[in-house]
Amino acid sequence: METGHCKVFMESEDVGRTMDLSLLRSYDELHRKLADMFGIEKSEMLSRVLYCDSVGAIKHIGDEPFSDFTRTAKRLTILMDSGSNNVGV
Amino acid sequence: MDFRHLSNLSPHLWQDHRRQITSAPSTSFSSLAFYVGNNTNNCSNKFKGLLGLKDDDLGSTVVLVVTIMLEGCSIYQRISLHNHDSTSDDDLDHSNAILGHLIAYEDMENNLLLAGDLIKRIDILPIRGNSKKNSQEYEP
Repeated sequence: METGHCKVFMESEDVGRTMDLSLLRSYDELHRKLADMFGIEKSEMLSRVLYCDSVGAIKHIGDEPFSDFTRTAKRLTILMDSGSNNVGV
Repeated sequence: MDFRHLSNLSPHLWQDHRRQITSAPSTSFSSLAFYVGNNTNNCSNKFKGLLGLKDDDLGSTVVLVVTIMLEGCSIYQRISLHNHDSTSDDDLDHSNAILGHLIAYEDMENNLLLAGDLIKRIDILPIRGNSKKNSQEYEP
C-alpha cells in the first residue's frame, strides 16, 4: 500500500475501508472522515481508535503530531467498546 | 472499471450491508469478487450506475462481467460471474455473487476491503514468485 494509504476496520467486522491520510490535515479532520465513513458520531469516535504503525506497534491516535502519525499509520481499528482491553488488531 | 463511487455508499447502507457480508473465498492471490449483502433499491441503483445498466435491464437477464487483472494485465477478458462456481479452474468462487451486493477485494495481506475508496482499477497481485512467470502462467 502506498505511503499515506491506510486500512480502517471496525472491530470484528469482515470488510474494511481504505483512506488516504495524506489528504487530511488534522486529527479533527480524520475523526470527521471516520465518523462519516462508518456512521458513528464524531464524539464517540474520539476515544475508540487505535492504529498499527509500520513496525507493528499498536497505539492510540492523538499521542503524536499528526504529520508523524500520517507517515507511520498503516491500519486503524475502531473499537466498539471504548473501555475494552481488546486492541482489535 | 471505475469503483470510486462505491465509496459514496451512505453509512447506514454500509452498516446494513456489512452485517450480512459472508466470508470471502480463499484464494492464492488477492482477488476481486461480489459478496453477499442485502439487495436494496439504493444499492441496485448504484450498481446500475456502475455497470451502465438501464432500468429496463433489471427486468431482464443481466450478465454481470468483471475483468480480472494480474499485475496490470488482464488474465480474463471478462468473467461472467454466473458461469463460475467453486469447481472452476481459477479457484475463484463467485457462486454467491449477485446484483446489488458489495464489491470487495482481498489485498496481499488477506484483508477484505471495500472496492472504490482509493483505486480506479483492481489489480490482482501474486503473493510471491517471478512476475513474468506468473503473468505467463495466467495467460487467458
